Amino acid sequence: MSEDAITHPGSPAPSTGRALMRLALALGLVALPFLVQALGQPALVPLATRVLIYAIAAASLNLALGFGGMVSFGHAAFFGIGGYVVGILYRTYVDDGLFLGLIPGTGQLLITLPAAILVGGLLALLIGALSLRTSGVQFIMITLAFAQMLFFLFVSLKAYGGDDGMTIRRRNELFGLNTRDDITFYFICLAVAALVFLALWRIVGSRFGMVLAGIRQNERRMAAIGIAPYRYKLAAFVISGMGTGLAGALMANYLRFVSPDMLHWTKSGELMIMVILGGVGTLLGPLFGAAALVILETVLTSLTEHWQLILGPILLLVVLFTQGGLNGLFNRLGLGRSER
Amino acid sequence: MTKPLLSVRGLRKRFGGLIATDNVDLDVVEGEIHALIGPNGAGKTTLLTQLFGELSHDEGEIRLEGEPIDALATPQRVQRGLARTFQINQLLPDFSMLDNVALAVQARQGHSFRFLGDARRDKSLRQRAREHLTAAGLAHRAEVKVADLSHGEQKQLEFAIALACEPRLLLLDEPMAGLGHAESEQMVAMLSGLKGRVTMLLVEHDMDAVFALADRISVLVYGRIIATGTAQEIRDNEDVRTAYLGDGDA
Amino acid sequence: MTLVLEQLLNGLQFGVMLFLLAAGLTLIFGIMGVINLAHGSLYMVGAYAAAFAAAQTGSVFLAILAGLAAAAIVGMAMELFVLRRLYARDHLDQVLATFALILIFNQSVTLLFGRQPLFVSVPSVLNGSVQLLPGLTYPIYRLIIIAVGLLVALGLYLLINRTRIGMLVRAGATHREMVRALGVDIRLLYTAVFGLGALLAGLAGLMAGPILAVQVGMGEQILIMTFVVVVIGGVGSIRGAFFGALLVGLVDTVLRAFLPGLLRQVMTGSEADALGAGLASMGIYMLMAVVLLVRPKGLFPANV
Repeated sequence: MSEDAITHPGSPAPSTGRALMRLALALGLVALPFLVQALGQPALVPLATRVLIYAIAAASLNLALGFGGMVSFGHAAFFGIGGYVVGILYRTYVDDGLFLGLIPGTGQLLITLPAAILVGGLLALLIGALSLRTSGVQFIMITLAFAQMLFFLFVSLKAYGGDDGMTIRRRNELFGLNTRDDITFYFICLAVAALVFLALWRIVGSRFGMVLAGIRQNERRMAAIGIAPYRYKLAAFVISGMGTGLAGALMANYLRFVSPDMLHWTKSGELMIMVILGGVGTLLGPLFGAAALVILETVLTSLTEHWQLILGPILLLVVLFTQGGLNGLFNRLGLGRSER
Repeated sequence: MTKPLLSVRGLRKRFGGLIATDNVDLDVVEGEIHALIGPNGAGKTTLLTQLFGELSHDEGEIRLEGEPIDALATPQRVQRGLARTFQINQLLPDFSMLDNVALAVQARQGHSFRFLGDARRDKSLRQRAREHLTAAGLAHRAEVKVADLSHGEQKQLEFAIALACEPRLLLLDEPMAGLGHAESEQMVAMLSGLKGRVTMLLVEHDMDAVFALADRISVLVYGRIIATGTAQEIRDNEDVRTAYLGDGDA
Repeated sequence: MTLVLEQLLNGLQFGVMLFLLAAGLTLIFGIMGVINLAHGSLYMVGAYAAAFAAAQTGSVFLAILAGLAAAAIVGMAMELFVLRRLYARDHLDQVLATFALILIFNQSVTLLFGRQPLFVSVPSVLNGSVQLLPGLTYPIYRLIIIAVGLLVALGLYLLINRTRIGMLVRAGATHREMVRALGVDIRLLYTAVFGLGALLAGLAGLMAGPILAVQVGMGEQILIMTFVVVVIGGVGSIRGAFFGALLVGLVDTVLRAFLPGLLRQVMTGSEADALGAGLASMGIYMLMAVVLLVRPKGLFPANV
């Protein structure tokens, strides 16, 4: 099934070309740590890890935003809460206490990641249930506001670091692997990313995905065939929150640090930038977008402290003058089929 | 007389000072094609929109098969057996004809919280959708994206989607609007072919089509039904003549 | 008691500042259908321009002029070069393009003025306090702000409800397509609305200088609160912006003033302060959530 199956159905051949591209991409990602070792640039492995983590977050956002048409400006809330799940569980574990008097701490990835998914989903259920009663401009503002509210909450929680954040001395453990090692952690993130992208691919092509795409295109028509949009939008929003929470948990592990910065509205903006840079509503777009922004930021920050003055115009030009972001660009260059 | 399929009593709707629907009583009998005609601005589309649940009425009662549906939102009314075509096409522009109809088929099969399986390869959906398209004479264009269709084809697709909902009562809002002569004839033929099998409430301006198809006609003027009857009765009705010819269009 | 009254006045003063921003924003949302994140940047530009002019010339009058002019000019440039291209685009594009503008504005200001907040003193002629009630003295400057805000509210009310252009604005807020269909020169209307919004934002900014910190990022902080105001009040509604702004201003100020104190009764000082400040910050968002539950379109929506 093609990647942009949602928007360009039943299109003919060059799917072999696409499949080869994707195989190359997969192989490249697996081989990356060894390639960069050979090139003498081991620092690129942590960079690639960051790209993968953001790709997971951006892809999850893309489900709600690109496929579902819900412009959420508050996804930092889910990213941050995923991070804090890891942080709080770790702190509780180290202090040998009980969170809220009930929940024991842990340093196990197999627990913290599902926990982050669960909490991310619950938070999305809460925020989504309220926000999806509105649409358009209001929805954007409301999601932004709720995320900001969460930001203020965590800034005020001195017990968990407040404004300064919490350090997480050791990354979560997984089957006795050395998660501290860059390459090991890279592969863990790669595995998670692969699972997430696979899941999203299945969701998008499923009956649920069809309904979601239909709602994005014309809610009135969907109601007219007997489908009530709200519950499907909420479901997509919740799934999106789950994935973003998962990414946040990985990020907290990667940085061995969590702070309210992960909840700040500019983080939401960054995620949206990744989605649009990569191409809204495509499956692999978020990966390219995350790579583009992370690499761009890394390069620019080494050039000048006023790097945002360069990023700003670039972003502006991309938004105003390109259609379909990087994914669209690749397609136009003949590396795939053309987009909607 | 058997209980009507659709029964409307005392329907009222006002927008500020404007009375759009003025104490409308209407019955649609099962199996009939019931036309709703009237001058421009009479409130025909507004009436349909209220019946469909997209607009809430201020007063009155709407019953489908004897059961009140006033409190139901549009999706629930569709699940109870209503369907509608829109004057301004409401289609899914990025999808193909087949996708559009398949979604209606999918909706008919129950909830869509199914996250596994490839919907585009689901025989139960695609096959059924193709059948509907074939019945509408559109099968040869099944894979074409809606945005690439002609106006006439889009109108036909509207109709096919509505039929795919397997409705008890079909509300048609000017299905001939914007169609050329040949396409109009096609549409009339299609509607004619469904006579007796699908109950329809048809809003139309094309009088030839109306008189060719309708079992009964109701005339709406300034939000009020001024006459209901067979084609002949309506043609002979004084009030109707005045409304159309005497005072001119609203 | 006087403490409560003082805080209520503070709340009122904050409320009118929010109103100045919200009025412009809600009209731009409602009539032009554009979400402009860089609205806060106009507020910042007004503040910086006024502060700069005041520092250079020492003249209050020139500072006010500079603040308004800068906001107006930057606003016009924003509309001409960026916003115009966004009217027909979807919300995501608008959000990202105006987000890019924020990055550009913030960094430009940092380049020009550095990261340290600018210190602006209250103009000497407006310095000092006045006794409103026995035991209650209140700064004249803040009273002036309240007065200016209420005057603007009155002016906007008259403009919207008593003039032809106001009628167009109201019509545009309720039904944008219709206004266009009626043959009204929509571009002129848009430019006028945007210009008005920019001026109001600049006015808020220049007045804010002496009492809030003039620093990069000030625009975004108040912008998000302005969003809350617009959501609570109802998109496209000046009346909603007014009552929403006053409500938000009062609730926020009162919570910040009294919540930490209340919490000190049950927990230790520094924890109470931090939690109190945090919960107080959350207050208006909870208010927004409650309003949304009951009235998804806001308290005074332009089109119900």
